[in-house]
Amino acid sequence: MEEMKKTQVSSEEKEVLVEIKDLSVTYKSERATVYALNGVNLVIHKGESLGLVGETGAGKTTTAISLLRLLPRNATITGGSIYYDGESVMDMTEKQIRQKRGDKIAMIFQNPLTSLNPVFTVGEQIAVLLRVHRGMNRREAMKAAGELLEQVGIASYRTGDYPGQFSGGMRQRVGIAAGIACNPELLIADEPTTALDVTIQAQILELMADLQKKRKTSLLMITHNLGIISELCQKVAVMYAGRIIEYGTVKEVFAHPAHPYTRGLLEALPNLEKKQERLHAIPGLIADSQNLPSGCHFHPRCEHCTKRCEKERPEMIRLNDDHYVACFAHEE
Amino acid sequence: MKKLFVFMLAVLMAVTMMTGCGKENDPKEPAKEVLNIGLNSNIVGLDPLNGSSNGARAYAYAVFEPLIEYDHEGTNSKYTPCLATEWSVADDNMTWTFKLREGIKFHNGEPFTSADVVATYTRLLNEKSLNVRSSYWTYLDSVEAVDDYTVKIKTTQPFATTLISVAMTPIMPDEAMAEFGEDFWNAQKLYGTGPWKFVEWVDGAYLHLVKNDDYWNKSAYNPAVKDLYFRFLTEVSTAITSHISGDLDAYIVNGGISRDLQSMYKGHDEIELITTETQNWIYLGYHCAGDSAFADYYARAAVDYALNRQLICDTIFSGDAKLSNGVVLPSLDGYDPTIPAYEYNPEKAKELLAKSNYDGHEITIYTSTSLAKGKDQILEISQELNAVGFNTKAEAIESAKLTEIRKAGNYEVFLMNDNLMGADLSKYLSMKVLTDAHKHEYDNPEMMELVDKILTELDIPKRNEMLGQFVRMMRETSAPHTVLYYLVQTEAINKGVVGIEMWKDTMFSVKYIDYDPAKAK
Amino acid sequence: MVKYIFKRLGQTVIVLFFVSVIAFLLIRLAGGNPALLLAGDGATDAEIAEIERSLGLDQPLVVQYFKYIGNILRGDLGRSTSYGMPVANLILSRFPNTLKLASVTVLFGCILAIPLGIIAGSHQGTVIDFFATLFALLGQSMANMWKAVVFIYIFSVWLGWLPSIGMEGGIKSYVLPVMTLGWQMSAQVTRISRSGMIDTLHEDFITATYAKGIHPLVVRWKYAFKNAVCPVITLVGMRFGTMLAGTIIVEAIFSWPGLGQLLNTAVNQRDYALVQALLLLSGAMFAIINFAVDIINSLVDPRIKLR
Repeated sequence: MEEMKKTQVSSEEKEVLVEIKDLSVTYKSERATVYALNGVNLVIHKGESLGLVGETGAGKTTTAISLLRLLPRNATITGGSIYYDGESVMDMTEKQIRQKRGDKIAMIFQNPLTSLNPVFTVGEQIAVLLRVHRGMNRREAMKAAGELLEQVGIASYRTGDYPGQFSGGMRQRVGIAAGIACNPELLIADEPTTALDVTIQAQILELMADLQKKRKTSLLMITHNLGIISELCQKVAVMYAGRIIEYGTVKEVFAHPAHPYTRGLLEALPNLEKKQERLHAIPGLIADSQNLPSGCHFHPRCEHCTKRCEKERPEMIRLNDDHYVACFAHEE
Repeated sequence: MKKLFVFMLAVLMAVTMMTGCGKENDPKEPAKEVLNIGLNSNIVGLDPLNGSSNGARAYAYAVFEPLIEYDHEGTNSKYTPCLATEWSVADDNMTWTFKLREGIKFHNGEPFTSADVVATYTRLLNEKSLNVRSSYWTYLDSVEAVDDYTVKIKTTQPFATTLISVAMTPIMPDEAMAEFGEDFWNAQKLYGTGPWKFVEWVDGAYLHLVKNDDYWNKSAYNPAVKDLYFRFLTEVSTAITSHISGDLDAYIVNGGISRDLQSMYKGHDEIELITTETQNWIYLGYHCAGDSAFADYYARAAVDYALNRQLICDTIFSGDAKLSNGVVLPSLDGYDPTIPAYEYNPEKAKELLAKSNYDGHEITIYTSTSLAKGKDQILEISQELNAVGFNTKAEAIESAKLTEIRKAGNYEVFLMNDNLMGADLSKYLSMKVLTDAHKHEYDNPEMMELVDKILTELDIPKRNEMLGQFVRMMRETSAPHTVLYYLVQTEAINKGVVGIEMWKDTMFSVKYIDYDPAKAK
Repeated sequence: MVKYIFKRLGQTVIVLFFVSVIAFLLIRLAGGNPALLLAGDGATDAEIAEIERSLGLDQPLVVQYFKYIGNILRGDLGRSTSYGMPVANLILSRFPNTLKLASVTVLFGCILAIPLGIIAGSHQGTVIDFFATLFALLGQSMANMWKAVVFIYIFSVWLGWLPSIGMEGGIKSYVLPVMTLGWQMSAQVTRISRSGMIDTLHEDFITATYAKGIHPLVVRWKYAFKNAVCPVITLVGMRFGTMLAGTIIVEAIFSWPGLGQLLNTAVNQRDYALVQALLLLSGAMFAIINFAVDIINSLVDPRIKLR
């Protein structure tokens, strides 16, 4: 099997917007070092929606934050590169990356109850984007903010209200409105519906799908919910212990999961048709990012583990055009 | 970030500009036209007849003038004419006639006449709580104007210090009293005849006087100084720092500047520390009746021998206190050096105490918290008394409380000070002994008779002899007070400042103040 | 809002009523007889009784109290027995000085301390943070008295730049008293601003704000600080109120003719009218400031609801 050539792109595919190569990030504190990302490779094409799936702590949010260069002070990029639209993000000046944030790359955060500033109106929190990136004056920006609220299903006269006056679901809509305000090329949604209940979740997803179709935005959908990915995304990347271990179209990966971990995730979903007494769980605990297993990070939990898996770390192998996996079991 | 930096730079520049200008009153200037006198207590109330502090009196006697002036030497004083030119007393020794100086004008141009004298003394007759009255004029009977420039002042009985009382009475303008009443001082409309004119009083900050260019006695006193400020600085250590930095030309503290603070002046030779042996003396007052332990003579006598006065002078006062053999201090007229000094003899004290009927109950020694080093003194005294068999404890209380218990006689013994006003014992004798303001309730008709005679005796040598007798009597009975020591006061005055008079009775005058650059350092 | 204002006004009146009762009782509980102090040691009992009558002290307490309240409502604060002047005159002449000192101190204190706290909180662990913390520590632990003496020594005696006493030197007179009083206040304001910033900067919405591409200075000084400001406003209000009641030490040291020493003298002399008026004034100042702080805070932070 050929290894995936990282710069190669299928002829029928669109242009590459984001390319993350071998990205490694560690968080250092007085007590411990956390190896959050350990050589992440990721590609997002223009107009494409990619789902990034993995358990909590796998490194999904860190990947997104690194792309925006918003890592906290105790985090260090220990290797790799990030390219946005051909430019190296790590080499950009402070001013350049700031111009991209909110304008070209926008992010919707996970917890709507904490991701809005409680002492400013929702109108202001949207309007500021328009003032900074579109040069509008206060009046124009606030008017535009009202229109954006309408698009996400909130009455425009509510621009003068504070976050505390909205429910969780509505606050997330405000977050989305802020995210699409400048018509970004890439929208990063970090578990946008995790903190919401199922009915609201459906509404939000519908909204996002709608917007994506209309505006042709690239979408990086971070979630641990496979159902959302199957509904919303074209491609999926599975992350475990700071590495992408499987990547491909949603159709292909979900139908024929190659990595034992992915298989485990899919099997863990409750099946309404089959009679089940116990849910299928992946044995063992998720890898401790402070104390990673050697070789393939998944090897302690894998039933197909070999001696090679304990020592060597598998790279991504191409199974077909739409499917890549990092597992020695698929090497011939 | 840049905006912030520029802003801070601007603030810094503004601050530097404000403070960059030099100081006024550069002490290196040759002639000084403004003098700042620091006082450690506020002047509270500008009524010249009701000054309650030495600072208040100093201001009053600079702006207003009495009929005569004197040198604060008690019955040995020399008197000089001021607003009066001559005076005499009738044979009854109670009626005094004063001839007033003509041609004197008040600061507002009004002429000075006998009407002003009458108005002033009438106030003393009517308002009994005035300080000048209670200190000097409880014997005032009447005042009358014979003509525009002659007055007669009558006392209820002859007393030897009448002229002192006259010298301590500043004359106020009658027109102003009639028109303004107490607004004369409350609304600061003050004016007098003195060489200094009242300008302004800012409570808690300063009192401002300006030179009177039309002073009637210009030929004798015409200073180069034009402005005089009394500045109220209650915090002594920081006031001294101000003094050293040149913001003050003198600093006068009630009770003097203590030894440890005097060292702050070291190295500043342009400031002189002036020491005076004062007539500010410390005593123990006994309640001599009822259940008091000190109703018994032997208890009181024991105290006299139990106290180590010299030790207290040396340790607590660092030598700024001196011993006296009795209430007539060495600097007073009538001092008898043949009277032996108080003796420190604990063994004798124990013997005397054994003879008394003291039952061993706990005695509280009181003092006022506003008496300098009062607490230290009573702690030491308490120890010394306990060492000979007394059971005492020391308690310093607020002066308001002390006044109350003394008025009610609700104490056994207290430590307090007494200031001899006018350098004479008459106020002490009349108030604290005769009328017994502090309810000593000491029953000794012979002593009271002697005091009565002293108060009315006009022949000075005879009076002095009787004073000596009184001291002996007090020593023999150890009542109603026992004298501990008198204080030595040190004040700080710049060398170039001349004309400040510091008297033994702790009063001081700035009336004739001036600045002589030749004397400065 | 209007309803709230009226409600608070009503509460303030009740508070002031209690303050007046406490002031009235407290000074009388201290014992001592003002008439005796006025009359002097040598006065007879008759003279003392006379003065008592003229001061109205011979009446029963309740009568005295109602007479006092009646006078206050008519604008008559009574007469100071120690100064011999109407109390209103005394307070009117001294209060502006305390007000000026307090205002300038609060102003400069905040101008210095708030930015310092914001910068220190934003750059935790750096040199600036270290110096800000040191500044705060020294400001709070050094006694005002000591600071004043050191300042006077450096700036008046040694350098000769600034006057050490009084108010007449114009702006120069303010510098040392403001530095002394202000350092302590700034210390507290710096600490609270700093810790408020540190807490706020950890919040999710701050990361979200950075993610919008807003300049870091704007993120910190506008969007973060507004979350941290309410405790600062409350603290500044409290300190301002305390300063208005008069700062005895600083005013004594710099011979600043404010309200501070007035209360001290008044109590010593059992000057009932003056003590009562001063306590009532302090109470009123605090009530007004508390009220203002509540209103301001509710305008800044919408989560604070006026009830």
